[in-house]
Amino acid sequence: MKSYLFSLFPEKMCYVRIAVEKSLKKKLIDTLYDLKVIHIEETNDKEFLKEAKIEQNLETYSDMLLNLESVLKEIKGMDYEIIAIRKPFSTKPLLSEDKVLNYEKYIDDFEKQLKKLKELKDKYNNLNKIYILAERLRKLGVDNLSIIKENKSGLGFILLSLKDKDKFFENLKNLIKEGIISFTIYRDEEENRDYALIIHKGDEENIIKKLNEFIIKKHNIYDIVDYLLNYGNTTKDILDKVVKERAALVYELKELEEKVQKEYKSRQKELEDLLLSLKHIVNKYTQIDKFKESRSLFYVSGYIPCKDKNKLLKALSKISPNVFIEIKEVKKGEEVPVKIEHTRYVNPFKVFLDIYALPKYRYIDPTVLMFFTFPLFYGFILGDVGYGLVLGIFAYILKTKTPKGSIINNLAKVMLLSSASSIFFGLLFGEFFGFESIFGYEFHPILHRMGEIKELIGISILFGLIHINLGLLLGIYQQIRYKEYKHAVTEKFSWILLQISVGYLIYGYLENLPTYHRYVAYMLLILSIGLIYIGEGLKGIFELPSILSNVLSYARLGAVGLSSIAIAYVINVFVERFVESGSVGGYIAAIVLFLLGHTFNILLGIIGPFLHSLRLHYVEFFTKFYEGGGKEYSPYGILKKR
Amino acid sequence: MAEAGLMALAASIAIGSTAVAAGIAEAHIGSAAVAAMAEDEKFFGKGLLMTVLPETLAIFGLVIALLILFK
Repeated sequence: MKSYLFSLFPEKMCYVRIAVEKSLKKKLIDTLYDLKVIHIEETNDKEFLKEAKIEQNLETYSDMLLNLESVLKEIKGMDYEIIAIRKPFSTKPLLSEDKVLNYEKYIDDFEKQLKKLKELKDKYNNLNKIYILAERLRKLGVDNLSIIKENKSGLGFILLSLKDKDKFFENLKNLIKEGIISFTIYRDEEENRDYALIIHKGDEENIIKKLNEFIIKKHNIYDIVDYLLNYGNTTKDILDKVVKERAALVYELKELEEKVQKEYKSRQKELEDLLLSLKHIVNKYTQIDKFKESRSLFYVSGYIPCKDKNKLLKALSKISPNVFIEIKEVKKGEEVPVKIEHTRYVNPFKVFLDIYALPKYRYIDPTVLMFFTFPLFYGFILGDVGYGLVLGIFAYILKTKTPKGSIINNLAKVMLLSSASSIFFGLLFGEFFGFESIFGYEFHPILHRMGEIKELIGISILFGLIHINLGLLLGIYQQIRYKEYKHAVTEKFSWILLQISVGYLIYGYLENLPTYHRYVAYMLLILSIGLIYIGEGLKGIFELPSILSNVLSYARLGAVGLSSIAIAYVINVFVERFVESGSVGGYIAAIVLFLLGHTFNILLGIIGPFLHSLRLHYVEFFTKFYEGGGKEYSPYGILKKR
Repeated sequence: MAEAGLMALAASIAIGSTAVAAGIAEAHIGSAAVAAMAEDEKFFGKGLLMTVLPETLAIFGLVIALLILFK
């Protein structure tokens, strides 16, 4: 495989136009889909060409896909997306279009079985509900439901769930004059709740009002009775009937469930392949409107990576000798899709461009630079052997547990590299979970962060100067490449000159250099400001201090690390004090504090350095050269995540 | 008050007040940026850029604080 380790630009693309006789339409579609290299770009430049149509019945495939997805989702609650994304680069659909159609009835039957299973489950749940309601009324002394329904005696019935049984009871006694004749109370142990049934000949609203404080809810007993009367006249009858029906249903339910699961397990692989095949077929034909056709011609245009030119020509020559192909270099200013490809170690860093914005075609792709600088900044901030090890283990587990190519998986790979950098800087700073020794072995730090703060901040700012000027140099390189010499000088070089002149001026004052040095410095300063004014106008003049704030912003590299080490230091001081106390309680407190404290600090240590390091790239570095807004290269034949 | 105490107080005011100011500014910009991102994810880059601009205040505060402490 070709190495792109030091590629600073997106891959070179070529414009391609292909036309074939209409009879070869299907062959061309299949070939291009399986080849997975052409990013189709719709063109409207030929008026005689209309949107292409296909003979295949897309609706059938789409329906099958929807049904199969719902079957798989229903049967296991499984994430069918993962199956499809697991093999997105397989060269061909696993099953042919004709073979897939053979499954139409099978999927329908499977879906019907699942529908039946769902109905049975609903019925079972309904029976359970009836059982609970009938049991509750029976325990409250109700047998014949028609007594409540017909209410010939003129008595009223109230069913309540209680908040406080004892207080309810106390207050109920005082309500005899309100017309209460009798009541029963039942405790539902499963629900952990008391229910009461009141029989009265008074005003229901008045009774409820006076008991309101002690009840949770008033249930509509007449609705419940109406509902239960559909199943029988007495609670005893209902309970007997429900028990019988439920027993029969359980058997049927279990049998069907086992059948469906068995069917699924025995054909799991086949169903997954079918799903993937269907996804590819639907994906292939839903994009058909990007192709064009006339009465006799079938036409497509788009972009391919230039290195795939021969691959395309070879594949097309197999269709027919009469294929019209035109491959040419892209024109300046053309909106070309961007393909970014690096080696497998650098590739995960693409995730930072995905989050931000892809670079435009022909403009610098800083992925490879971030491969070096991101872990460098991260490690410099975290800089602890212990934290680095924990972070590394965490990142490794995350990497193995997440699907390849996903954002989380890429971030885990980035974190793995960053953890190695943290361990390296941890050795330089002599820190292990904030301690300066490990199992009696004293570290000999090259830079002691807590003691040499000035040096730490100085190094951070030096990093800033180098990083920002690297950004400006990249900007100059980019503009010289496109022969925009004036912009290179006035918009990029002018800022470097500004820094040199200010530095020269300060150095002159500090070292008491002869006066002419200052004049030279002032002249350079005026020249740089003039160039900035020419390049960026008044906006540039107003933004002059921004170069200072940009450089100083890198002080965070030292400062954030200091806050992390200060927290670790405080935890360790307390841990040591607890240990020195010598008591068992002291040891336990020391262990708990050590674990909790450092876990908290590691969590901060993962988030803080990550965000600050990323910010330095996005805000301070990218603004010097980066041109975002590129369109992602998305070849025909690759499944897109929905 | 001892000189060291006054210096510590001055440094804490320098970093504290600028951090609060940056926080207030970022809160306003951040909420607008999140709203823009909810509409269109492409605003992430610009949104982040705008949100962190006032952080410069805190950085200046930090530098002044360090200058005071390590004079």
